[in-house]
Amino acid sequence: MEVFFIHLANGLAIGSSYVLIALGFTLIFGILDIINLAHGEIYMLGAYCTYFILELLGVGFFPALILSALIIAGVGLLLERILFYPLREVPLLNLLLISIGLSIFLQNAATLLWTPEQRAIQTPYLTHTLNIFGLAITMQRLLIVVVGVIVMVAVVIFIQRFRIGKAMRAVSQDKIGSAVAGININMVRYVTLAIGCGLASVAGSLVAPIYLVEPTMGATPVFKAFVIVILGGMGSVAGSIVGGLLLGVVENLSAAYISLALKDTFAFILLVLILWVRPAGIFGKSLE
Amino acid sequence: MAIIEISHLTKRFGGLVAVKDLVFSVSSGEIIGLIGPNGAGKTTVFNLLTGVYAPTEGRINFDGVDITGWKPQDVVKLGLVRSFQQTRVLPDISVLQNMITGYHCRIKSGVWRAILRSSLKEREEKEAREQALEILDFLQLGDFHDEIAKNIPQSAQRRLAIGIAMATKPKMLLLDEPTVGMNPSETQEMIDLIAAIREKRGMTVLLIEHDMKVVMGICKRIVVLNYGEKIAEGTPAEIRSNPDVITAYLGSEESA
Amino acid sequence: MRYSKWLAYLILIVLLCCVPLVMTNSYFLYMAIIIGIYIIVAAGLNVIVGYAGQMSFCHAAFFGIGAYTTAILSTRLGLNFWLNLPLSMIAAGLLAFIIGYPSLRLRGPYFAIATVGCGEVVRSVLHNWVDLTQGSMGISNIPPPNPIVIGNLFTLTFDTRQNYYYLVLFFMLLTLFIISRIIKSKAGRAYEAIRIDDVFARSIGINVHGYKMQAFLISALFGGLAGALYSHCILFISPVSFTTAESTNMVLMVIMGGKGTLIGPIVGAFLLMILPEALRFLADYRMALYGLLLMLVMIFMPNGLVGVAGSLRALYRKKSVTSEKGVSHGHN
Repeated sequence: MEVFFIHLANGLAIGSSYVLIALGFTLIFGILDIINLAHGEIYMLGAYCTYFILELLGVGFFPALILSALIIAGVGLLLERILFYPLREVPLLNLLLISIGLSIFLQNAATLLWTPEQRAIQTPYLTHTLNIFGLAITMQRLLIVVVGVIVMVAVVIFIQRFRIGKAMRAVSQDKIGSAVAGININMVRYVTLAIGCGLASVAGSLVAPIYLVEPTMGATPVFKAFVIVILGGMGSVAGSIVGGLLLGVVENLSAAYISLALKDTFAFILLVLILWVRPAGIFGKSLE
Repeated sequence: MAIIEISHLTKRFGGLVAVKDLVFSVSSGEIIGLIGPNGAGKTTVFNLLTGVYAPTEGRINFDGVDITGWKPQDVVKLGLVRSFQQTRVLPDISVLQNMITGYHCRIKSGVWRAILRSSLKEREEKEAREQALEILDFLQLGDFHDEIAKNIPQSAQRRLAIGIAMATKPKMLLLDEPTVGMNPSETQEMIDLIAAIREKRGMTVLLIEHDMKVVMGICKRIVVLNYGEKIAEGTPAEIRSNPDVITAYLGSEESA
Repeated sequence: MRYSKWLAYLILIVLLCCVPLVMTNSYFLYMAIIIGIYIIVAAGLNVIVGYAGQMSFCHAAFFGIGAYTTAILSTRLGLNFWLNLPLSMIAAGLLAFIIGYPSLRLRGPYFAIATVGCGEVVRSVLHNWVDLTQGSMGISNIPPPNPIVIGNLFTLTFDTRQNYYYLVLFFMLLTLFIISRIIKSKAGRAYEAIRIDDVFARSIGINVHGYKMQAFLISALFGGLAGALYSHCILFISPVSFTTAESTNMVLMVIMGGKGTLIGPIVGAFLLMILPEALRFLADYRMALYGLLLMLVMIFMPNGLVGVAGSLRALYRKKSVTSEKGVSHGHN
C-alpha cells in the first residue's frame, strides 16, 4: 500500500512538470493559434540553460532556474519576432510542419553543440528525503510539485487579475473584437510566447536533476503535453492542470502495476480513446 | 401539393430556444419568403431543414418523406439544397469544376468504375459537364467557365453559388439572403433570376430576405418569424398591413 | 492530341524498363527499387494528405503492417508471396478502418495528433508483442517472392535485383495509374471539395466522413502494398523503421514534392531519398540542415517543387503573352 502512495507521489511530481509544459503549450495555442511542436526543444533548452548556469556561474539551483526561465522567455520573444509573427497568416498545418522542422533543427543543433552525452544536474534536493506520512519522498520530486503548484497559481492569478492577463484571455476568445477594443495584440503575442517558453523552461529545469539532460529529452514530453492539452481542451488552463496531473499519476501507476514497457505508449492510448469519445477533450467546447 | 411540411419544429440550444413550434408548408412551385428581424431564427430554420442541426422536437416532411434527423448529404440527394448567407464557392478551382462538383450526388459511378474506365462513368462525366455548362449559360456565367472561381467578380460568385446548388438537381432551393449587399440593379437581376429559376427550371424556392422590395415583389406567400416563433403568414399585402409584423420590425434594421 | 500523350507515357515506360540493363552499379539499382517503393508510399499518402487535405502522421503504421504481415506469413507459415501481398493490403486497410472511423470525425490538428497517437500505439505493439513479431529483434530471412511459373514455358524468379526492380516498377505504375483514375472521378472532386471547404461540401450532397474514410483507406492500401514490397526487398524488418519520424518523412515527401498533384509524390519521394545520400558529405550536420531545409521549404515553397514549377510556368506564360501584345501594338 505504501508503494502505491510512492507511485502516486511520483506521478504527481512528473504530472506537475507535464502541467507546466502543457500550460505553456495551451496558452500559445489558445491565444496565438500556433501549434508549436518545437515546444519540447524549448523545454530541453531550459534544462541545458540551467545546467550551464549551474556549471559556469556556480549559483544555487533556484537562481539558476529563474535565470534560465528568463533567458528562455527571451528566446520565445525572439521566436515571435523572427518566426511566428512574420508567419501569422500561414495556414495552421503548414505551421505545424514548420515547427517540426524547427524541432529537428534544434534537436540536432543541440546534439552538435553539446554532444549526445547525458548531463547530470546535481542539486542538494536530490539526496534529501523527506518523511511525509511515513513515506520517504526525495525532496526534488516534492520540489517539482511545490514549484509547479506555485507557478500554476501564479499563471492563473496573472490571467485572471492582471491587465495583460485579461487581455490575453480576450484575444484567445475573439481576436478581431479585441483589436477593435484597443488591445495591443502584438504585446499580447509577445507576452504569451514569453510566458509559454518560460513555463517550458521551468519544467525542464525542475525535471532535469532526476532525468538527466540530453538533446532529445523534449521529444516525448511535448507529445504528452499535446495529449494533456487535448484531454483538457485546447486553450483551457484548468484542463491542462487536471489533465497533466492525471496523466502523470495514471502513467506511473500503469507502469508499476501493468507494464513498464507501455509507460510512454499509455499517453497515446489515452489520447486516442479520449478523442474518440469526446472529440473536444474533457473540458473543451464542441468542435462543430 | 405540399413539397415541404414543417410541423411543430423546435430547436433548443441548452437553455436558448432558437426555433419554437414552427408550423408551415410550401407547395410545389411556389416562391415563399421567410422574413423577420435579425436573430429571429431564420438561418437556424434552414439548418434544421437541411440536417445541419437535428430538431429538438417536431418533424419535417419533404416530398412525402420524413427527413427529420437526416444527414445533410442525404437531404441533398432527396432534392433539397441551400445556399449560404456569405457566398460560398470552392475558390481555388475553376467555375466549371465548381459546377461539376455540385453534380456529385447525381453521379452513380464510384471508385471501381473509375478505375476500370467503365463507359457508364465516361457517360456520366460527360453528362455532368454538359449540365454544368447549360446551367452556367442560364446564369450568364458561360464566359467564366474556365476562370478560377476566386478571380471572378463578387456578383458572379453569388450567381455561381446558386448555380452549384442548382447543379445538385434539386426540387427545392433554400436561398439565404441572396441580395444582401447588392445595389438596386443587381437586386433586380437577382429577382429576375429567382423568378426564372421557378418558371423555367420548375424549382420551388424558400427565400430568407431582409430587402422588402424583393420579398414583396416575388414571394407568393410570406412567413414571418420573431424570436424563433411564427408571428404571421400570408400574402404580401396581408403581411404589409399586419400590426404584429410592423411591431416586430419597429426599431430593428430594415433595408427597403 | 491524346495519342501524343500515350506515346510519351509509352516511351517513358520503355526507358524505365531499360534502367536495369543500363545501370550496372548494384547499389544504384537498389536505390531505384527503394525509390520506387517510396513513390508508391507517397502517391498513396497524397490521396489523404494532398487531395483530401487531412494531415495523417501514421502512414508508417500502414507501411509497417504491410511489411510485418507478409514477413510473418512467409517466414512463419511459409505462405506464398502472391497470397501475402493482398493480405498485407487488407491488413493495412483494416487498420485504416479502425483508426480512421473514429479519428476522421476530428478536424485538422486534432486528427493529425490522433494519427500520431495511433501510429505510436501500432509501433508499440510491433515492438512489444514479441511472440508475434519478435519485438526489437525483428524478422529476418524473409524469402524473396515466389517465382511465377507459366507451365513449362516461362519461369520468372525474383531473387535477383534486376527482376525485383521490374516487380516494383510494375506495381508503381499500377499504383500511379489507379490513383490517377480515382482522382479524375467524382471521388477526386469530392476529396478536393472536402479539402477546400468541408461544410460546403456537405451542403452539396457529399458524404464528407465517408469520402475521408475512402481516401484514408486507399492511402493505407497502397501503404500496405509498399510495405510488403519493402519486406521482401530488404529481407529484414524491425520496428525501428516504422516510427512517427518515418511517417513525418513520408508526409514531407508529399508536401515537398507538391501535394494534390500527380507528379508531386514522385518528385518528393526522389527528393527525400536522394537528399540524405547527397548530403552525406555533411555528416553530422546533415540532420540539423535537414530541419532547417524543411522550415525554409515550408515557408517559401508551401506548394512544393511542383508548385514552384507551376508558378514559373505561369510567369513564363505571362511574359510571352505580354511580348506578343507588344508586337501587335507595334504594328499599330
